[in-house]
Amino acid sequence: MKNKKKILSQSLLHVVSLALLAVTVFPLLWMVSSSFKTPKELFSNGINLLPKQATWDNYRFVLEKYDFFQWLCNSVITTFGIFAVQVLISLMGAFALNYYRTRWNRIMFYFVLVTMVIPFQVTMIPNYILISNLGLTDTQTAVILPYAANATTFFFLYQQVRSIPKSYYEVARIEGARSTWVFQHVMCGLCKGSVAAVSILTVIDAWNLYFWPLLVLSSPKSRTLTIALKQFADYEVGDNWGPFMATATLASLPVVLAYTFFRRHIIDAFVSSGVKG
Amino acid sequence: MVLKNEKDLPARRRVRREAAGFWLWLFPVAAAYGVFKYWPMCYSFILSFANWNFISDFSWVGLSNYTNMFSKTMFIKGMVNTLKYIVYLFPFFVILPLVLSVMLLNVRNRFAQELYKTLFFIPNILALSIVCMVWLWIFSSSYGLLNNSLVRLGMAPVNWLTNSRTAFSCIVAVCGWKYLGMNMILFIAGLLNISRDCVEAAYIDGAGGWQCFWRIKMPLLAPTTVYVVITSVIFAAERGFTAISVLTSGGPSYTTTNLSYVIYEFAFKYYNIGTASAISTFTSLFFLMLTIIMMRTMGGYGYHEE
Repeated sequence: MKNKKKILSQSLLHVVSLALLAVTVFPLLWMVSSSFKTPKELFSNGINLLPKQATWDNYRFVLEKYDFFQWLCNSVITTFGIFAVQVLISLMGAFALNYYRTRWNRIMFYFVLVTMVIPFQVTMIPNYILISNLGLTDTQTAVILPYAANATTFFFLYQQVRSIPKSYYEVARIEGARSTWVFQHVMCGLCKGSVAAVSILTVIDAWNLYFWPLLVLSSPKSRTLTIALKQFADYEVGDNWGPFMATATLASLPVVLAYTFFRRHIIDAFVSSGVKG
Repeated sequence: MVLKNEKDLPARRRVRREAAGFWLWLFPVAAAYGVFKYWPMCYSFILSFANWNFISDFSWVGLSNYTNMFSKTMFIKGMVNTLKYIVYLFPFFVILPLVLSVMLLNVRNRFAQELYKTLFFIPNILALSIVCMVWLWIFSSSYGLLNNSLVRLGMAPVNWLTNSRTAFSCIVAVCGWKYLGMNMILFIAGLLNISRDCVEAAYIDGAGGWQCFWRIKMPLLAPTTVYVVITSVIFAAERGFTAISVLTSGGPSYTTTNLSYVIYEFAFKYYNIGTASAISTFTSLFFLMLTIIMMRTMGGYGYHEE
């Protein structure tokens, strides 16, 4: 009797989970399936998930008619730039706050941490003015620079570095090691795992960046993938939805691939940068 | 922390040496946060007392930006909508993920549990802007999936995003859909962190399943809950921008704007930098209040000096 009840409740759980999952995953499947549909099928009353007549035309169209590779290249540059600048600066800061003992430690920690709650929209206008005064609009540098300061990344790395026993540093000091050596071999060596975790998050975030690039990148040549996609969406009236879905699928592909390979790490990184913070 | 080889140095020189190294390593951080966070904040505050449109001459107008702000419909609507978003997003950001996490933890089959977790999390890693554009196509009034299905069921199609009665719900639904998995994962992690002993002790003392959940697990889950609530408030006021900008552009007649969208409109559509800056100062104060609450409830944000 009890067993029967258990099976019943378990299967009920599965049914409810699967139903919710269908809702969760469906829009993404719809995106992929739309990218293989012909215009005729896209602009019809069909609600079938599988295309009746799968075609690569949309993809071919995007790759041949649009600057897809230019956008891809821009996206890669900004992503890599943001990742490098943000992680390196955060690591250096985390190191300074943990390796040295001065009366500024506490103040500087809060100096950085407080910025976590400055809304983006507050810094947006002055940053835009600054970037345009420097003549950097329409360049990837404009996108990268403000993201050097990211308190979330900093805080996550700070916490990881803090978990290294202080005695390691003391030993290195007594042995007369330079701080650069300690930074490279002791700190980076011991924090490899967490640096990798935060890197994955930074890369995903940078790849998905939308609002800031929208402001500073206006020429078609400098657009990143997400901004280029917005361009499609602006011409809603046209028959661009096929190529749009193809581009959206291609733009999401790297992230999804990364997710399939580093699933555990990505989820763990999300959790530890969130709650423990 | 006294070091042997540095012990011979006079104390003052030791401190100065320490400080020199400290600032050398911290310089990039100080520079980056100073230039891209603190300076903009101050500058924005200064601009809120001026009348400027990017190219005209600067003129000081005192507090009038602040006083006029409250008579602008757009701002009032943005503020009211932000509060509305906070309320409407609550079930999607807090309750549903919590229920889901408890449900998934009760799934016995390890493989199925892992698979569900993985799939529920997928929308989180994709760009909000891209998924919003995909939803734009689903909501599309002429050939969108939703309307096609409605027609199949013999109902009249709806202009989802241009109808003032549905547009707001559409944005809430899309954002809820996007972050469901994220908050679920956080709750799962929180629930797994609760020590078994507490729960077992409660059972031995004769607590039922419900009682155990409300009296033992919920209080112990408080840090996660607070975090999730705070992020959802921040989302409502700030990050919801992307969804609003892609799906409705704030329309119809400002029914879907939030505070950050209002700032954007004033700055980059009407080039009214003064008012935009005044609203951002207002928003900052709002966020500052939140932070204080967060720090109080979460205990100093994890900075402990050894």
